[in-house]
Amino acid sequence: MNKEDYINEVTALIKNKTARKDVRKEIEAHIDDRTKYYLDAGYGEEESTAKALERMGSPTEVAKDFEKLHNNELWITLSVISLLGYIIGMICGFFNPLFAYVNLVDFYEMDVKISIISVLTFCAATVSFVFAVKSKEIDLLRTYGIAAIISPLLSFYALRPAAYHFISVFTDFPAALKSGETIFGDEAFSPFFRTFTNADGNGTIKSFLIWTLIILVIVIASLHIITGIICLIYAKKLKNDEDCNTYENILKVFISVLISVCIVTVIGTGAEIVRDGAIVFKSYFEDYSHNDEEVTEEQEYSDSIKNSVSEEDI
Amino acid sequence: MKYSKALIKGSTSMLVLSVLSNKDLYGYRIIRELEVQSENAFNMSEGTLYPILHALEKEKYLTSYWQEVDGRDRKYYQITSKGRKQLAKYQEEWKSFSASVNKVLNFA
Repeated sequence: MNKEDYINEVTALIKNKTARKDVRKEIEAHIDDRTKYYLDAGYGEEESTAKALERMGSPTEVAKDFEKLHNNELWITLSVISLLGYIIGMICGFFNPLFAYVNLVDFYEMDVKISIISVLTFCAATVSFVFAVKSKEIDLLRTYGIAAIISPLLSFYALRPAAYHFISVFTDFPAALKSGETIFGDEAFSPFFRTFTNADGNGTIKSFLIWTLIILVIVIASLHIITGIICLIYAKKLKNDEDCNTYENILKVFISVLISVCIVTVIGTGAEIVRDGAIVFKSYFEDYSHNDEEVTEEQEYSDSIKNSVSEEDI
Repeated sequence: MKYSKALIKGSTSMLVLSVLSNKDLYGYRIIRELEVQSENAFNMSEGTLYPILHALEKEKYLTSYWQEVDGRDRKYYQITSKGRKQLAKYQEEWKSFSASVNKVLNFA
């Protein structure tokens, strides 16, 4: 066994490439130092290397110790980081229906709140990004990079009302032309049109909120995509030539992104069902109380008629 | 005198922290220092030192930095305050443990 074989065997089980490179450098320096020690003591070159390697001990044993150290938490860390940003979004998904139910916010304010949470999500994601860069985990960087590029799509999912208004600018007008309906002050139309058509100030304020929101979403989405790209470039830079785990890494990244998307979709949809349920529930109660008032009015009316009739009779 | 593997392995962390408590050293120099201080009694497999060093670093008992010496990059290890506290704890444990072992051995 020569020096190169020994080092290869020791580092074979370390999956993280940066860690593997560092261990290589460290072990190689040690073997060279020990070889020099024997050379200085008067041994021949080959004998010195052989003696140095003998003193290093079993490479399999060392490799096993390293494997335990460097690979244990990688997969857990990957999942935690890639999901961290989304969890915050999910929590907000649950809080929104609650706020709507107790009537603290109306729908437009709700959307603004979601975008504030998006900013927080972005901050959390940035922390994960810094962590990934610092720890020089290539797998982590790749996961984050891909997740960051995909997450704006998820943001659009959460911010669908805003996205809808954005799209409706292009869809409502032709539809209105076709049906021949008036676009003035029509609640069904996009706030973009209401800005110009609605005479009362209400529509203007609402559409201002919506447009701020759309711009915010675009800014956040761009930031996400930019960091994602930086991440992937950095991961590529870190990656050295001896890449033997590509298939496994791609699979891991794919699975973690898939898990994220699944969880966001399931919980997001669940939250919406709760929210819609709350609104239906609330409007049912409103209708009910409204009916009550009408009934009393009718009763008063009929009572008054009865009275007048009775007066006429007299 | 040569000691058995199990005995050395269990106490290496303590010995490494002890050697590093005086000055920052890289792997090979730690081994040399152990050889000198123990008068060649510690004939451990040198490769096994590195997983131990990395584990100590992970526990934040040590920090490391690369420095060029004689035209070659060396990974120096430095003891942290947490590491010093741990070393004191190890020493305490060791003293009490060896005292108890001695009592039993002397009894026989």
